[in-house]
Amino acid sequence: MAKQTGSSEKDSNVTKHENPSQGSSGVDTPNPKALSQNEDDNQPATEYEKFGNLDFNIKSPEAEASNNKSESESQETNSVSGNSGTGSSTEADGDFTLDAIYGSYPELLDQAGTEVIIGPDNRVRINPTTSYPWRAICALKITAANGRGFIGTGWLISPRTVITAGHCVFMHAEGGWVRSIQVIPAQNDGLSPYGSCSSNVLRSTQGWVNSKNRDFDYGAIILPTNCRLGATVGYFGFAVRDNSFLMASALNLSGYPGDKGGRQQWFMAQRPKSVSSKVITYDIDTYGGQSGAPVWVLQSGNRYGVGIHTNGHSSGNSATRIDQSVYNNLLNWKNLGL
Amino acid sequence: MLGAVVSIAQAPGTIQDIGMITDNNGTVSIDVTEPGDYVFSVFYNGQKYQVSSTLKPQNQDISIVVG
Repeated sequence: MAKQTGSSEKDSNVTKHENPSQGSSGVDTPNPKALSQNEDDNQPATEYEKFGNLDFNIKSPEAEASNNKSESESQETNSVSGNSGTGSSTEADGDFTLDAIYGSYPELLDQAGTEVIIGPDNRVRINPTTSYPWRAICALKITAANGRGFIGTGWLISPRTVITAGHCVFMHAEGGWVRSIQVIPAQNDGLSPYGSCSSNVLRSTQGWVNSKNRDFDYGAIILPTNCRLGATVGYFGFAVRDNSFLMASALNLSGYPGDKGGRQQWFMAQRPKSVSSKVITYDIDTYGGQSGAPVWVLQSGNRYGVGIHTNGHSSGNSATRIDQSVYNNLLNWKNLGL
Repeated sequence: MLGAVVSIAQAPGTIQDIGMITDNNGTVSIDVTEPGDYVFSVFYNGQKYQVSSTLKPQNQDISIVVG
């Protein structure tokens, strides 16, 4: 497949797969025809799910929740610097199967670790982190409302929108909306090759904020207007994918685990164990600090987030699945950060 | 012990996969959703440690001491 470079091509790819059309309900919904234009006709599993039985009522759990901070209140701590990014990819078509994953990331083949988490630790360190997609993944340093510190992971979906777990932006046990989050794309030990930005403009869902419902555990950080990190490092697309597609796909997950210090990016890919309407479960090794990490598929050379990593469990780690309602919120938040 | 990174390595139930940073007193706050035996990974000054504790079903502070 020909390489795709340049920010305009990047933007085109993202827009093509997220281009909304106005549905009869008045709520923006993806246009399946437009979405299928870039799909392989031999891969029916790549088609989007149907959109029936969705509740778009403003009081629904999926309804947006905000910390009501204007962007002017954001606390910028640094400006962007470093290389120009493209957000494009160079992999071959048909590379969403597990067997091909290391073909897509040959630089990672000889870096597999041997430590034990629960069973073998198959994570691979990303070093350096300055190529796409790794540079679009961000270490998060979180200051809770009560002043306590936490670490998490986020991923850019637009120049100024970072997606993460809901529990990284709203902590029920720590005073609610967090005080601020420092976003550091491509952090690599002591290196922050693209600088960092801090923000307190946050978004999540009513289902998470009001009910602490795991199914709605996702959120967003909107960076200050003069901090367009995604314009430098590139960003992920995101998509709704059906069960059969997901079960046949290699899921990629990369983030900043605490057992490695929280300043190194570690990656693993594997097929899921199961999928439900709201959750994707997998045996991808993770550790505290990887909350909010992207779970993405590599399809026809493009990266699409299909889940937001949130939870760990000995019987399987899990992500909030990007279904239609999650997609709609992500799209709204993406538009806030253009 | 300020600035150690604490993450849960084993827990009796599902946990949020967030990492915690110790404060000036070497303390982190745990949102315990399920009581029982927990194992923590502690990363401090380039070294990795493991500690364990039995937690009760309420939010509580855990003190981490390395030395």
